[in-house]
Amino acid sequence: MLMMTMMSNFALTLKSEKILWLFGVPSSEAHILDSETLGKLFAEQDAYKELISDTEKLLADNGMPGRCTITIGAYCEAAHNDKTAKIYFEVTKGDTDDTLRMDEGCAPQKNDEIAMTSSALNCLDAQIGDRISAVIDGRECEFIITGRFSSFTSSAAKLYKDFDFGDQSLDASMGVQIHFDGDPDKETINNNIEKIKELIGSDKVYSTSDMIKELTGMSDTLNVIKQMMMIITVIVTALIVILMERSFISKEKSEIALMKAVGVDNGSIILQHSLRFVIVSVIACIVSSAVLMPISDVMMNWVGNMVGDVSGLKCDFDPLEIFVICPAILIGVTVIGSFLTALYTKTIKASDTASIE
Amino acid sequence: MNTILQTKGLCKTYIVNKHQNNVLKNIDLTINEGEFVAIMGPSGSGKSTLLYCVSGMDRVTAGEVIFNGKEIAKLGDKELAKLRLDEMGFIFQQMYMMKNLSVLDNIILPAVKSKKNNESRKATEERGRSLMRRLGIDDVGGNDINEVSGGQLQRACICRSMINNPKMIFADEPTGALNRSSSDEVMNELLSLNRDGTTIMCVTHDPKVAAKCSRVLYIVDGVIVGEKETGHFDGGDKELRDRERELNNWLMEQGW
Repeated sequence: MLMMTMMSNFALTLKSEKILWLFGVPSSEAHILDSETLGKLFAEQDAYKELISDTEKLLADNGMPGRCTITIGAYCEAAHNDKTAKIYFEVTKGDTDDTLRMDEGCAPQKNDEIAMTSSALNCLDAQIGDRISAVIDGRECEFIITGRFSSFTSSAAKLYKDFDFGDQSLDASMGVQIHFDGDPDKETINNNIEKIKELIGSDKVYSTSDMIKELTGMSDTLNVIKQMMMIITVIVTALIVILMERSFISKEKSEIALMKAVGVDNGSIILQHSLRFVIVSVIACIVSSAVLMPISDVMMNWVGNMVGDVSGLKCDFDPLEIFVICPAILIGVTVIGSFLTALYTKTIKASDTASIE
Repeated sequence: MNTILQTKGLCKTYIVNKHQNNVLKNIDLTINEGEFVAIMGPSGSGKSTLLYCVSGMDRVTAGEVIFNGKEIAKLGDKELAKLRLDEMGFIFQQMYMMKNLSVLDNIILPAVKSKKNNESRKATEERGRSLMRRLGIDDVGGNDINEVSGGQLQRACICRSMINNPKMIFADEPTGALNRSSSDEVMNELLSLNRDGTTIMCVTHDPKVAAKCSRVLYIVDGVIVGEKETGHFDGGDKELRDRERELNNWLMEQGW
């Protein structure tokens, strides 16, 4: 059951809005990832300013007022003492109330401050409080490390929002993030997204969870794996229950015959045989539920660290599935399997006490 | 005296490898309340089969078995189980007990399972201990069944058979697996129960055991070929020797 529910947690997490912060973008409801729209960012200087203002105007003119941000970045050579490394420097441009979620220290507050991921710090053998230099747009910039953060991008550094990349050619962008005014509900957000798709003539406008699903590309696969695990769990549980119960019946034949001889009815014997499996499966479900979240968090962070630089990630979960559906499946299969197998005790007669050695 | 058990034309047939084996043939039998009846016969004569059929542990092929006014053949499995639990007691040769339960728990098992028993668990345990005191095994209640002697275990089986105050006790070779002194102890306990009014039907190979019973039935090839009234045994070695001698002579006449 633990495997089943862990897969469920992973699948949910990898399309959850809760992990948006690991992509280096602020909280937002919609995301434009259209390559034609974003192509200008890589071709022109400061194109992001125009893109942000154009998008905000488009939204306002069509009854969907909101604020836009763009996260852009470039790989630049950085140095600390005698260590050098190529680090991905990123900055979020635009109007947002979000602050960078930090694992340690604080977010950069000035243009000469940066936060870095653990692997970036390790590459440069630096720690919070150290100064590093980097060549950005042909000029050498000095930064003080103010904190450590998590990201799916390994060896990344976060710059203050006002930092100017100048003519530095960009390597990546997370698209345009839109935070609608007035905290609209899910239905309004979805309607807005459909409208934006029509306005810009592209399908690549996503809600946060769809964007994450699109970027990670794992959620659907994990869902399929989860369903397969459910089937395997059902089959394996049924097999184990049936084989164990048959083994118990064979081992306890004399006791069953004795109980029947003494006057215990078939129903009581079948109930007793079924109940022992049910009790074990209930305990297993309880233990599994208790350890699920800690183990899921550990595993998810471990997987996240293989992809990027992740810590402090909390898995998303569906309480109905974890605490009701999966246990119900497991306990249900156990009840049915043990009950049907326990019916075999009906073949043992009270008079079989005569043939027992 | 009231009749507690009666059979009319009782037949039991087994089919083994398509061969029909008539184990019991038209058995007519009556046992009255308070009797202590021994069933004797050579091996394979159908003694245990007769015991199982009249106690409802096995279904008869034909004929009637009336226990305490109830026609056993007409009862369903559940009703039969209830009858055995509430109105019958059983003692087996091999002293079968539940391995995972203590001696006391084994003794009170029928009482716990019986729906006619409304008392608390504590009261049931006290009744069990009372029976154990009467049979002289009150010090082994908490023991595992592997920690007691054969004689003690068989006396525990007697306690178990008595816990629901049955109308009749069915004993299949109750002393078969015991040494002489333990056999005597067990038989004395059964005699004591019989004197208190419990009807007992006992299958045995041992003439010493049968000599203590009030009636002996001799069965050969599924038919009761002889019956001997020996009267109640009051105790005493001389009386026992006389009864044994008389019984042996009678058994030899029957072809023992």
